[in-house]
Amino acid sequence: MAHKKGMPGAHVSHPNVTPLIDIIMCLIIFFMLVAKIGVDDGADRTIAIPASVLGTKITDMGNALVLNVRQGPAGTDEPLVTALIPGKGTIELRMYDPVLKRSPLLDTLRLFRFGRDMKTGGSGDNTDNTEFKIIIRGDQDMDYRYLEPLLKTAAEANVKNVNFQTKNVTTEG
Amino acid sequence: MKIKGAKQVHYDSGPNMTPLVDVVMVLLIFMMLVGKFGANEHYLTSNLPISQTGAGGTPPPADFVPDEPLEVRVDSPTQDRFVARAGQIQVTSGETLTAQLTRMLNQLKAGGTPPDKVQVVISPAKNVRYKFLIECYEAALRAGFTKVSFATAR
Repeated sequence: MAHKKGMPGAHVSHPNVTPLIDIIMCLIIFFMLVAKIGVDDGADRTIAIPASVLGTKITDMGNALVLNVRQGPAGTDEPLVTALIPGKGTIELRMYDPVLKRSPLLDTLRLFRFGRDMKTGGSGDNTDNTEFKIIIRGDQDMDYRYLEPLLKTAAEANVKNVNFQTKNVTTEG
Repeated sequence: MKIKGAKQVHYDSGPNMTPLVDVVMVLLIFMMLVGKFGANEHYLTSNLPISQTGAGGTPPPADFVPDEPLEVRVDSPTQDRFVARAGQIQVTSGETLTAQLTRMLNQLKAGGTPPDKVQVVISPAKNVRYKFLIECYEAALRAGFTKVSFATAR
């Protein structure tokens, strides 16, 4: 007697998740490459910067120093300037230190601009950095009296490339 | 006769992929939340940040031809507005300042002075707010000037 062919076992098909994982892996690699995670340029995000329509992106952030500028103590025209200095963290840079009888801000700008000797010329650690730039991140409600000393100090340090950081506002906004 | 059922076919389902997908999804959401793509900020650049009047400093070379100065005086009668004077015209907004500076630039061009030979000097009073200065600065750039700087405070 011929055997009757039995019913085949019930088969539950599972979805193939391999393409899903491939796409998710691609997305993760994309976000890892384009996102900036943990990069601190010293910008004080609590400062309300002014808005502008025009503006350019700075690509060489490695050769730039971000100066956070706020209104200084009442009764003086001295601004409150902070910056992230490599090796020192975020420090305040005063216009003039009466104890040291020097200008920490001017010294810092000269250090970046002219090297360790803070003078024109030299080689190695004293090489002049003509492409050095500063980025001013100022409080939009700060008076010009607080910005002017900073600009004068930058001119004194022979820093010609000064940039003002602004919020990008589109005209269609 | 005992009818024997078909031999059950066992398919090898492989490792369970569900935890892997969960972990990958968490990583993806983490990356999306902590990363920031091109921040919504940019920069107004200047190569001549401040112009100081008066004597002193390194003397220019003998054949140096100074740029044509164009002063924009900025005052703030109240904290919430500014008044800018360019030429004989007085304006109170960035747009009107842009229009006025554009007219002035066209006049200079008609007189044979190119934009890169004109130095716009924004001369603010001490109490003018930074945001108004940026507005005036941007107005000069939008008008087509390439050299814009600030003067020492009045």
